[in-house]
Amino acid sequence: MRTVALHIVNTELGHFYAGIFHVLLSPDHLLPLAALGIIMGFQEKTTARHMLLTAVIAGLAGGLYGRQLDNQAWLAYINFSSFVVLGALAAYGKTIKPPIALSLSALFAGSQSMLHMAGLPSDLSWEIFLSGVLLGLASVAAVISAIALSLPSKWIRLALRIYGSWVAALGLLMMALTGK
Amino acid sequence: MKYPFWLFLTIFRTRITKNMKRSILLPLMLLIPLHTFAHAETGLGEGFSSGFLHPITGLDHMVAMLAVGLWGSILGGQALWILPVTFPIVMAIGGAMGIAGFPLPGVETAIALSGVVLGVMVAIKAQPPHWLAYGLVGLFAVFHGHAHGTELPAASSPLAYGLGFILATGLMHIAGILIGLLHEKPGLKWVVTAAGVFIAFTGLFFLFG
Repeated sequence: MRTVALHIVNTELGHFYAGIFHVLLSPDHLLPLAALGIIMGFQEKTTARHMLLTAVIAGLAGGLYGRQLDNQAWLAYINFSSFVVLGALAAYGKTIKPPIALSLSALFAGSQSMLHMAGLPSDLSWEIFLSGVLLGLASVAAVISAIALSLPSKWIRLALRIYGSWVAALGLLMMALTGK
Repeated sequence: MKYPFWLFLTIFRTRITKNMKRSILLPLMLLIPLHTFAHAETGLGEGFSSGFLHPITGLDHMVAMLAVGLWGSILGGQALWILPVTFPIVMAIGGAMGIAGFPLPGVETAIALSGVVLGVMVAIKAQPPHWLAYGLVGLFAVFHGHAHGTELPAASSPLAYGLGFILATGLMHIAGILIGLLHEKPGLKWVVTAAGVFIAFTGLFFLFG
């Protein structure tokens, strides 16, 4: 008879939290994700919703593909290039065409999930970990975009664009370091 | 770096309204380096704190970054958002050159010169064509970034270090912009002029000192 585990973080559900916090506590994943949330917040509401949905679906696909990969250097390069692209677009601060926005969301979420899942330890339940990752990704993007959408003050908008420029700048530096 | 107590007394003694005191204090507080080291940082924490402190504890960097914000306020219009949005990116280009080991002659001289030139621009409240202002600031941004970038690979956490110095730079811009907004207030224009003179003299000190 299986014993009842009162603290399920010690069992399978711990992998779910690991997935969520892997997104929330890694600056190299959180910073560009926040930039994506800002870009979503600068779009029309319908486009923003579609971007969120696309991100989750692409994240799932990217995660499934990423399971087959080991930790490779080019994956870090992809991550930091997302810093530059998303940061620059957040700094740009204007609406972009919906097909481009959706493609961006899909590419980013797919690549991020790929990164999260690459080189995963074998004792980690990948299905539960991936669901945590996707929830973390969707939550951060949704909250940040809600903040950007709901606070129309020009100073808040400027602050978000400045954040985007910081992320882009950091991406440039990290790409130079990774390529060194 | 510690600031003399008399500096704070001087600020409080000047005859300004309560509201204006608050508006001056907030950006000035951004300049106070915090020396609370209750926790010995390692890894991410150490990288972030050393990156954050690098522009702040380097007076030549700090005055130039303040001057960028001050000048942006004086130029007004689009400059108010163009400078803080584009400066980090241009600085990062210089940083990438530093990381790649691309030699840039006279980095320290250019950094000192940036203090002199930008300080003078702020002191005289220069209003050149915006493209000229952006070009000048961009040129100096490359040199500042190069200086930061050469130290980045040695940091314990390069990502955190980079985030730290970009954040510190941005906060100093914002502080400069907030102080610079005083140039629109009739009794407080001297604050901006005095800041420009101080920055220019600091630049001269580093250039010839």
